[in-house]
Amino acid sequence: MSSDKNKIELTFEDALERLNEIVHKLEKGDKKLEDSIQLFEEGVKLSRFCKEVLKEAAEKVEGLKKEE
Amino acid sequence: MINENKIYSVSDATTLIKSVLEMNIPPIWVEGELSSWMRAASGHLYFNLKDSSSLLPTVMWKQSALSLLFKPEDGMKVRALGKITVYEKSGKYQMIASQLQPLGIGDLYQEFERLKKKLSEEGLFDDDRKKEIPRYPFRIGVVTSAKGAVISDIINVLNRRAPHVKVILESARVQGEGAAEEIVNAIEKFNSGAEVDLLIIGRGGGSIEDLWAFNEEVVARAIAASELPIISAVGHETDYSISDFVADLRAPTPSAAAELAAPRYDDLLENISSLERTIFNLISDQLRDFERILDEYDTVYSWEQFNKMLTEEENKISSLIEVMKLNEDHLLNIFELKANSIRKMLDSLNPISVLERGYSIVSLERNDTIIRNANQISENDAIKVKLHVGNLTATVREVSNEF
Repeated sequence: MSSDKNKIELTFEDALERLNEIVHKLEKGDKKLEDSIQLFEEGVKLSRFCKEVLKEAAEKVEGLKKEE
Repeated sequence: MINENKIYSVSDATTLIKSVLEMNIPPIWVEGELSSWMRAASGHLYFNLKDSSSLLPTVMWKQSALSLLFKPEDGMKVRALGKITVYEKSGKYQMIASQLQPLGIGDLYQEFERLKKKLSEEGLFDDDRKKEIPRYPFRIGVVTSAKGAVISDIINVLNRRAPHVKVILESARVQGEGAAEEIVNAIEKFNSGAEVDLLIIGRGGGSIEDLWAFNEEVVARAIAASELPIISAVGHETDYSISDFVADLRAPTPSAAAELAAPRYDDLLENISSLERTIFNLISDQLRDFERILDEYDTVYSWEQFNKMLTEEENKISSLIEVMKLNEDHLLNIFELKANSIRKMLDSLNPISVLERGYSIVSLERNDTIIRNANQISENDAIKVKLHVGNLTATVREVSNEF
């Protein structure tokens, strides 16, 4: 997520894929601490993004049901 | 020749009857209703053909029965081609049928087989042209009748399982005149505008005539041309339609289609949380390792001014780890605040830069203890050596305590 634009365009699937990739990278354990921290921060942002997307989608669908 | 004055034995009379019937009646087509249908363990079929006033016992040998395209049922109107034979032992006549066709829908079966063969030869069923079903759909388009049970089945399954998935219905009649065209239009409409991740097309169970729209060539072609991936769910588990063969995925029922399409909301959330926990744990481990390396430097290089700086940064890391245990939610913020100071420290005190100068870190493989003294280690111990570039493992050949 290098910019806000990317953040908006980032799809759930891409985010989840990247999150998995980050886990694998951290699991390898060959990164400098500095790089690991960057990966960690990115990972946390991604996981929150994914959760938000899911929850917002569920709320929207719930809202539509109530309208009907 | 029949002799009116002759006295016949039963056998002779039966032989006479048999020859008269069998020689004078060529194979004939007989139409009637199936009754007392039964398949013997041998694979032969036994049934009666009947109408309002008569009954004709019929046998179909296994070899002929194998080529049947439908499942015979009592009450079905059929047409059978057969030869009349007399069974002497019981004095009964019966028909040996070589062909059996369901009436009325017999043409549909032929059409089904014809189209299936044609499209299959064109490659429309090939695996390599199947589109991948998106793993995490948020919007699913459904092509079915607004009045049917299918749409409510799908909505029920998704409400329960994936409440984050929005269902968009494009209603189309799913049987009768014009149904195929409506299905085609709905598929095209989704493809030309509506934002959905995939389509489910289908209807509930019914006779082959009810399901027929999904065996029409126009529908098959629309499915093949669709850019959106399509799951076909037509009829019950045992019904196959041309749509099923062309679609990217076949589901045995519409409810199953919804289950195949959307992963569980709870599973998704749990999966994400578990990934998050994993990266928390991994970064904690690495910070602890780093802390330990700082300890080692503390011992190895007793430069006072260095120690002072180290202690300061070590404390920051320790408190970071403490906080992490207590409250994961606030960790990110703390990281953002502390990241800069940690980075600064890393710049000035990168263990890698020490390794760069030619030093190595040697640790015991079994417990990761860093080795400072030869008496920590014995012959044949496995050790790990961290170099500036890369790592290596080795076995200790000899231990000497000399400086």
